[in-house]
Amino acid sequence: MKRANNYSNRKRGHLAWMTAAAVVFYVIFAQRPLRYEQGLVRLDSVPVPESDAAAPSDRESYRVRGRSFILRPDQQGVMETDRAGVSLWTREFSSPLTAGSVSAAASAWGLLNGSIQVLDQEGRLLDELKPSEHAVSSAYPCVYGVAISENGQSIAALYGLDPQYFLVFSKKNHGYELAFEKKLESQVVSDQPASFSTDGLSVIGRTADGLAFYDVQKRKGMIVRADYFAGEAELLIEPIGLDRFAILLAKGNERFAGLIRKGVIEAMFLIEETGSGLSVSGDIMMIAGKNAIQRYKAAER
Amino acid sequence: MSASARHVNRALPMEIAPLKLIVLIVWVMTIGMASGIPVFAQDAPLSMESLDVAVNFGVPGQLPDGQKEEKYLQTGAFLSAENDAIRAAGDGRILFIQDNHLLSGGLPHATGNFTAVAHADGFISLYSGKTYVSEASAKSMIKKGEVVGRIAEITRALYSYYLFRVYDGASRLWVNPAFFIKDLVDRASPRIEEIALLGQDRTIIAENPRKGAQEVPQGNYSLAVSVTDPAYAKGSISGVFRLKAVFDGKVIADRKLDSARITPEGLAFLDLEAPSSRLTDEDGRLLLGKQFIPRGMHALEFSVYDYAGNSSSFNWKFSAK
Repeated sequence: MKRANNYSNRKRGHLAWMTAAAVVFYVIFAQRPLRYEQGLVRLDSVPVPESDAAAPSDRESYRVRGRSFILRPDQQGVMETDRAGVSLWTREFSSPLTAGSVSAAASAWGLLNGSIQVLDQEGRLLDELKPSEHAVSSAYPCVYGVAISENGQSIAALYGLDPQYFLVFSKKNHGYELAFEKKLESQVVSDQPASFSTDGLSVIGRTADGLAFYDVQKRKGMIVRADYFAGEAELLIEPIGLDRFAILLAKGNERFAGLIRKGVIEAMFLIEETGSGLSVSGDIMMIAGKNAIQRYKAAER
Repeated sequence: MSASARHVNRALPMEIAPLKLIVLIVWVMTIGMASGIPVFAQDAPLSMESLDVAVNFGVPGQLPDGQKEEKYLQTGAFLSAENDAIRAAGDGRILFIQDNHLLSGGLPHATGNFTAVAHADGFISLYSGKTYVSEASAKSMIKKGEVVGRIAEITRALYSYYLFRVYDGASRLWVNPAFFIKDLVDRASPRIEEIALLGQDRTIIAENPRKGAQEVPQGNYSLAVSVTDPAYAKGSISGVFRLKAVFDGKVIADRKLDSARITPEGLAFLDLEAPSSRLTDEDGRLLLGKQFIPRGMHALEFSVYDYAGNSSSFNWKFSAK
């Protein structure tokens, strides 16, 4: 009987040590400085094509997911054009655009008056999403960031002022229903990036509290790595592969490139400070600098 | 006077107060409608001052090069910046700042940078420009007259103007900014550039009456007008405000550019349909509605007024066959 108790106590002791070790490992590895780049393999650096360098910045055109849009000079309307620049459709909005997200199936446009207009491929209004009608209450309704999933089934938004929320809506029957709501402690008053993964099962978006993440399948969300993404920072996000995100972060004069999957940072490292543009082709991530484009390949997991 | 009589006299106003209030509301609304100036604009806590103003509310605008056939109606006024500084029209909360980015990506800034300030009663004022730089920050409450932004100094000579717009969130209207600009002096009459009848396969443009009566085939036509409000040496452009058409003695259109209603399809100006691109043709003429023109002699009198009250008229006599 006594021997059995000793065995049980020893077992408990081992369990306690293992738990403590796991916690220590978690603390060390989850909170360690972001210097690792295992998730991205540097391929090469190619010079910026002269045609790109010489081209004037076209402030009205918006090319995304193989589609081209021209914004109206008052930012209160949009026109989709084909490759030749011929108009396919135009849409006038009730107030100026503050955010936009485009997928193959649809597009979502966030407005200053707090509504999100969801349009189909021909520019027809599929839905006008007003978070205030989903019991989300802010003193000042305004959309600061928006993302739509590739199939148009989910929409995420950074919404409102006093307070501000990170929201995710899922399509149910004929409209969108609020699936996730995170009230934020800090607020922004400028446009912020947000994007769904290619498989549409996760979304990330920058908030003043940090990087907001939501898992569509688990219906759970959280704020990750507040230390890097909160405060004065700028971020670009592009989905890469099925479930990852390529990111380019600007904090002061420093630039970081990274890779995120399911809310976990797989790679994050310092790059040259002229890096200012982010694009993705297949599993290749490209960061455009002043004179060169750095190419990285997302490593197999 | 006895104490009880004084009591009755004091109590009486309290009893009739609700009635007085209703009468007052009806009276104010009547005045507002009769004058064509919305009551909310008179009561709004916003006001702007500027030496040079060009109101372009309802003026056709166009998309960038290559898409010139696509027109829309504008909602703002260009104001000159005082020493490059742009000041808030009223007390409020900084709602949105669109400013220069360190990184290149995301939604382009078609209107340049801008700041939106939320005021009392649901009003939002917007200040924008191609070289506009915001001076407000995320936590800012702002007082009337405080600097919200500046015109970038390097290009001051080229762009000393900024665009001012006002949105009434409570009434879901874009409001003509002329209502909020103090001491708006405009002594130049608006100009009627062109009046046209647009038929299914023909366009008839009104000619000088001295040439004699024009001949027009009978049928259904849209009345299209091209109007401008010109500048003059010492004053502002208060903008075209009212358009009136009388056909054979009957008013067929009397519409004001006081506000643009928000609809799911876009902005509805002149109480006509949305989006605003439907109210203007490729040549930038405003489409004021349809009219059947039967055989016989007809007279069309068209008048245009600017916000300051200056007006111009054109009488067109034609015969329909």
